[in-house]
Amino acid sequence: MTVERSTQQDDAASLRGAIDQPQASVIHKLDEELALELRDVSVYYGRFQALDSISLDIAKRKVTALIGPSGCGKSTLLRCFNRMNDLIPSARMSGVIDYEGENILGDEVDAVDIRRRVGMVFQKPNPFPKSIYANVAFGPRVNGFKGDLDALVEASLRRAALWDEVHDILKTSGLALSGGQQQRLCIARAIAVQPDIILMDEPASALDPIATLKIEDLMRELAEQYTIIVVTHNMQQAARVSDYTAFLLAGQDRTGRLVEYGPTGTIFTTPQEKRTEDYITGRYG
Amino acid sequence: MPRTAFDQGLGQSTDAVRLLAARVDKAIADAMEAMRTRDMTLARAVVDGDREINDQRYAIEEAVVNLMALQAPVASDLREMVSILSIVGDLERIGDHAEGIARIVLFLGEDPTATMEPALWEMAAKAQEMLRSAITAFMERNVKLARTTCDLDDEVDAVYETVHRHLIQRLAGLPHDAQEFDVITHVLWASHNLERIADRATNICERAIFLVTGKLEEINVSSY
Repeated sequence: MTVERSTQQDDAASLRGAIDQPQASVIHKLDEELALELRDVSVYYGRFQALDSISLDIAKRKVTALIGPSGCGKSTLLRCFNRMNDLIPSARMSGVIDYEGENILGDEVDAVDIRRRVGMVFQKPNPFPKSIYANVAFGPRVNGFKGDLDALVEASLRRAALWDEVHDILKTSGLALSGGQQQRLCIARAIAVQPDIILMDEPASALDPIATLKIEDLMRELAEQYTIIVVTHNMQQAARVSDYTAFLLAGQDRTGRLVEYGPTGTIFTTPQEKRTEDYITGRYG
Repeated sequence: MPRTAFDQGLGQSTDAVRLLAARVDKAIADAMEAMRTRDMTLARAVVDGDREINDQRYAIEEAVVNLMALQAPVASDLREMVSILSIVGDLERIGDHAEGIARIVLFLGEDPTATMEPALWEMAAKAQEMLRSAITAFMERNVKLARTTCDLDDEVDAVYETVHRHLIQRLAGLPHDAQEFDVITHVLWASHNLERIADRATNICERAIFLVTGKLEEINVSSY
């Protein structure tokens, strides 16, 4: 697991659907199978630039953590991966996020299809006010799933480590579950549409320590099958669950930039950048 | 700043390492002085003082483990604390080597046939120099000093080699029932203790380098 840093911009330029002129920046390449390749990804909200030229590789079937202080752009970056920023009227993105040869940020890309393949779990559990079964079955039904829905619901709940707790109360409202169970239900709901990538935005910040550990265990299990990208303020959580960690930091201009990216073990024991060291040891801010 | 408690705790631990190192350094000096002057009282004091060295080591370990549990350090903080745990182990063992020399002094007593090797004091001086430099390298995060200190181990080894050969030659010339047999064997052990002190100083240098670079590397592997 090595990270090669280079200043090449050839990959970005050659990718289909590149938007705007890519700027030269450090590219953090990984020497393993990739789920996503980001090249010079920038995000603007109106005239304000929220992210500047992020270039890194996201490894397939690994957990990648995005860390950094509030306002550094990590959630903005996460929302690029499934075009959630499209829902913000003033948002504009440039650069390339290559996902199986396709630029996620390209105009021709079907954002709804991307969101099916790149699922998302939010900070606060947000089950639909429906039964547990209906929550999980919702996505497949909308997508016109023709197979055995019962089996899919069970498999999704099992993968989300929730089946044993809810198999005999499937008709109960999802809102009746505890916070930790609701979050696992949301994960089951995300899994049910059979995504490749699962995005998690502070998935355990509203949960108690036991429920948090369950979610963290689940993330490790899910990484055997899915690529997981998680935003977290909890650095111990990032250290516990992730394979790779990206540290973002906003400058005085409030624009977020990638400071350091690498194997989580390296980031938390021997970070190469002083700003990373200062942040993870609590010297920053 | 949220690091106040952590910085205070870590500062206390590094201060304690410095004190432990000074104490161990004195134990070596006292053991060698006791050997030079055949001062049994001083030798006994070194032996008795080793318990306090051990207690100091465990107190530092306990403080560091507590700090790790409560503050969950990472990066250079983590490396420093892990290094301290390793260094106090080496210091405690150096204390044991000093105690070993003091016990040899007690064993030899005031036996007039117990002819010492002058080179032992040369070894001790070099080993003490290594110990002091190693601790300075750790405290000052000085990789260059750590590496040059490790180089001194070759000099200690060279003196040890000379002492060892000479003592073996002395042994070879003795009749089987000679009283001096035990004396020479114990002097051999004393020289071995000094050689090991230099090795342990090298270990401390390796931790000083690890603290700065994050790399664990074995430097200048001793011939013994």
